[in-house]
Amino acid sequence: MRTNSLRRTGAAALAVAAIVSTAGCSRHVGAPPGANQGSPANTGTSAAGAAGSGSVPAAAAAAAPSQPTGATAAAAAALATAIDRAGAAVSGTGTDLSASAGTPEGDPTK
Amino acid sequence: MNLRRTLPLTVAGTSLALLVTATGAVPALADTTPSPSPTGSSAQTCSPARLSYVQARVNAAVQARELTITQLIRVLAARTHVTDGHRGTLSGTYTADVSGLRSADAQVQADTTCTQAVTDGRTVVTSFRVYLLLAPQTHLVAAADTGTFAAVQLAAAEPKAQAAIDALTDPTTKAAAQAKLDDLKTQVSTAQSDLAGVADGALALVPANIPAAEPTLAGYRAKVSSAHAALAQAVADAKALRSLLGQA
Repeated sequence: MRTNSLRRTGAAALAVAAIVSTAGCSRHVGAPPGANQGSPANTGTSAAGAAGSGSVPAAAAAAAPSQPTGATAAAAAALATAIDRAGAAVSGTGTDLSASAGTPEGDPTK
Repeated sequence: MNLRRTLPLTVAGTSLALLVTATGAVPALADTTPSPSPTGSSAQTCSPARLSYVQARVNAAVQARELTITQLIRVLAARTHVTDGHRGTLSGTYTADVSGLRSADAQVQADTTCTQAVTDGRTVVTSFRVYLLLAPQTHLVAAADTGTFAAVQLAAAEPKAQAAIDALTDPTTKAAAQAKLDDLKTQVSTAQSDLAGVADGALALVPANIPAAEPTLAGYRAKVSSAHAALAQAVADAKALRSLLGQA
């Protein structure tokens, strides 16, 4: 079951990539607004997609001509790591902060 | 205000009723059972008939505290960023407190007079302070150490972020990114300053310091709260900075 599921997921991902790629190309050849609504990645709830506002699919954005410099790529990776680790730690800090208030002891003999 | 603690237990009748009514503490009036006190003439009210009641109450109080300590042990185990030293100190306190609480309970169960049981039973509170000290200590240490870890993670990204900003050519993006990094540095520095000494200070407190040291604990909580806010802002800065660098 798990293997089949993974296969299906993988197949779906390839299909999505192909469709997104096609949708991205279709914009360049003058596709009408909202032409990518049939993509599985678009559930139809996106106002931008429905209105054909010109939102660029992620795959197309990744293929943008400007490539990051080495310093930018290194900084992006370092920031991503810091955000992940520090973000989780900050959440944990908040949890313990909320629980750090003492509670009355009462009198155990009463 | 706990009237049962503050009013002389031998006082009874109309004058007490008027006083209690005037202060609005009606529930205390409903409890007409004399409460035992370990001191002075009030020991007269601690009759032998109440001995088993006191013993049962103390046993329940000990078990409740043991349950809390068990929960604190689980909390500590789940906090992976607590330092080994702090973890060792807390673990040692848990072990000692469980042992001490059981000894106190055994002493109370062996007491033959109500007065003895009350006196010994109150050490369940005063000698351990599980709720007013141990629980806050655990959470403050966990919060401080975890926050310190977060600050270190953010500080580690600063040099590479600065190098990337230095390489930017668009002046507008460069200025915006530099502002975010500068604020990130400020927030991290604030958090580190706030958290410095909190865990060690909290762990240095002992039951005998309570209730006098409750304001000290409140001060530590305020520092952790300030650090938490600063770190949250630093993470927001890091996200904004990453976004700016991604647009460059």
